[in-house]
Amino acid sequence: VSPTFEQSIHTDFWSSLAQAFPYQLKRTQDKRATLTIDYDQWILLHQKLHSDWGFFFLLDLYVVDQKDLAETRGQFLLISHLIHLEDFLQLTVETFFDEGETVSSLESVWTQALTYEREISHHFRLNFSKHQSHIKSDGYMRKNWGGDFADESSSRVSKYYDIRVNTSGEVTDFSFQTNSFSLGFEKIAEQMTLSQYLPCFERINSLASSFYSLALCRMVEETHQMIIPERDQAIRMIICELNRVLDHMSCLYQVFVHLELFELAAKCLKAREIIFRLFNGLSGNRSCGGLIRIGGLSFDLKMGWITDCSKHVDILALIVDQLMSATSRSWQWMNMTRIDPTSAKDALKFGVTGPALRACGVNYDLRKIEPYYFYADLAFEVPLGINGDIYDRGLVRIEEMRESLKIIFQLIDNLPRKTKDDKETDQVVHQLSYLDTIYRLGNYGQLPAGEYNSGVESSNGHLSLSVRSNGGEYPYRLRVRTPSFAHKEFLQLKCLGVDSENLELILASYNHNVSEMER
Amino acid sequence: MTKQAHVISNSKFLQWLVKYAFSDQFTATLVGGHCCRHEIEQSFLKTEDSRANKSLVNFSDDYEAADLLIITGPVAKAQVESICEVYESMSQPKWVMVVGTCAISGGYLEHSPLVENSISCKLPVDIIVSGCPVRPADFLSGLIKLQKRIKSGELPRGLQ
Repeated sequence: VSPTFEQSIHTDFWSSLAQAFPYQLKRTQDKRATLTIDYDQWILLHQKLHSDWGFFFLLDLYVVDQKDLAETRGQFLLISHLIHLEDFLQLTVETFFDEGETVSSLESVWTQALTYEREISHHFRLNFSKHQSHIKSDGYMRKNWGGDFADESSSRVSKYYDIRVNTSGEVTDFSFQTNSFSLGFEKIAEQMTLSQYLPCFERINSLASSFYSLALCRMVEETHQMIIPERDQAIRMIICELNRVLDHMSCLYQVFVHLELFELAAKCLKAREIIFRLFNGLSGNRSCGGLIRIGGLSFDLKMGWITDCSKHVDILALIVDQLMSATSRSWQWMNMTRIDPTSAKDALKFGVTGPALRACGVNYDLRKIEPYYFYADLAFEVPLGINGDIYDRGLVRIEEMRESLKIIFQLIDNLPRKTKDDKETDQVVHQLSYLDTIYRLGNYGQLPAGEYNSGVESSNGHLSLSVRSNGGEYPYRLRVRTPSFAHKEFLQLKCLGVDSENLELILASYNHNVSEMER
Repeated sequence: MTKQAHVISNSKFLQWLVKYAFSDQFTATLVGGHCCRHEIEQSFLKTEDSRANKSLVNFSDDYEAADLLIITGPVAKAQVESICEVYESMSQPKWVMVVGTCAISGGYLEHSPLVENSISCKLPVDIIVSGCPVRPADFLSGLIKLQKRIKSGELPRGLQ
């Protein structure tokens, strides 16, 4: 079989990349590869990849403690995920280093790397060159962690961020607390199987819960090559789009409350209540999904839910139209929100994704780039802004809600019927109670040794999940890159020199979520 | 926090009388975030300013004026001391309400080394509302139950 045009481009790209760097290049998928390099070349190689090869975007940076594994070149494995924005090629760069070595910082290439490195030094008690962390770190993510907290990290923390304001009301100093509110979501994943971990994983951000469960389920299903019935895929998409509307509504609610527009805020809450009730009808849980499980859905739709949904989606569309007419053409709203313009270059440099990036005019949406399920077949558009200020961000969010309501309409019209075969296959979990589901699918949570990735376009941006497994029952290391966490460094820079009154408005317009930032 | 023996003086009793015999309204401070906070927001849907329902509870950031401390979401160990400080800065008599399974016993994060599992050992908790996340109706009924107790003359656990 002769390769297609697209494949030939990619093979050429990867082969030329392999020729340029005398390291071990392993292609895992069509658009994904792993490069294992020496520790000395860490910065130099990233500079080259950034300037010559077009890997502009740093998606993730994390460390795996490999103390238990037998054949390793060093105790720690440092991993970076890069994205080539033109063809959406993903490259994973790995290197090994040992205890006592200072890790060289990637700050000179990407400024946002600082956030990731601070987190690594806190999790693993490691030192980075260039910036010395003043806070004594816990190192609780280490495998041999004995339960001893550093003195200073357990000191009292009352506010989530430090702020200093001068006499004229400008913010002169703004920084988030480093990991003082973290709850160890990644740590407890090492103590349970993936299907046990799923309900906990949903609770990282309760307003966008279904994106989290979708990312995890897709990863496990792709590795086990499960076939999900079409009906389940469509229902998953409906839930996700409802969740997107929910999260955008609560973001706008916060913006309206800060601007003291209480009538509009009440409308947002009303819309939120409608979606909460729809979720309640699905699974009995108002905000934290509980429906998307490995292998399909935990149970099929209740009788009459679809008619209920289509009725309420009409009401939601009305509310979205009202918000649109109240904001887009009102001079008062424009005057209040023409703050904080952002250029696309800055946003890309700092790893901003989601509506905040699209408001700057960058067309980056995983639903279009890497379409999963039926997104390729549906008619919907990706709204873009120009200036990247609060006005644009709000408008992009409202337009996106319209688009996702459109998607829901199309899906409801063409929802596949339940077939007889669905019940007979082993992988489908219709009509099972929740506990049965966990019991029956417990084995599927187990992954063969290797590295696994998956990405989902969540309401705040690119949500990526990486799991390392050593073939055991539990995952060896689970890493989730939440979109709000990546915005941290950018927000710290943005909030300098801003009126202290506008500070919370800017934070709200990025939908910055404490529980999502500090996992 | 060490437990201290409180003696009710006459003036304190008068304070209590003024605060509660003639009013039905709580002034509450909310600590913590996560799912339960959204549900609490959701339970005050009907009023014009959605953050305050004038008939039952009035949220404020002023700790000294508050008489009800509501704790939601998983409590990080680093946060515990600051919550105790908030409690101490409130004026007597004061009540503590713990909302949601995470705050009560850790919930899904029970095995995490960074989460405080038993906030009731650190603070004199008066009422708990369970649920993961809590339902708005449950939260409101919890408030009404607490109100009934106060009207029947029960003292807060911090004073007993």
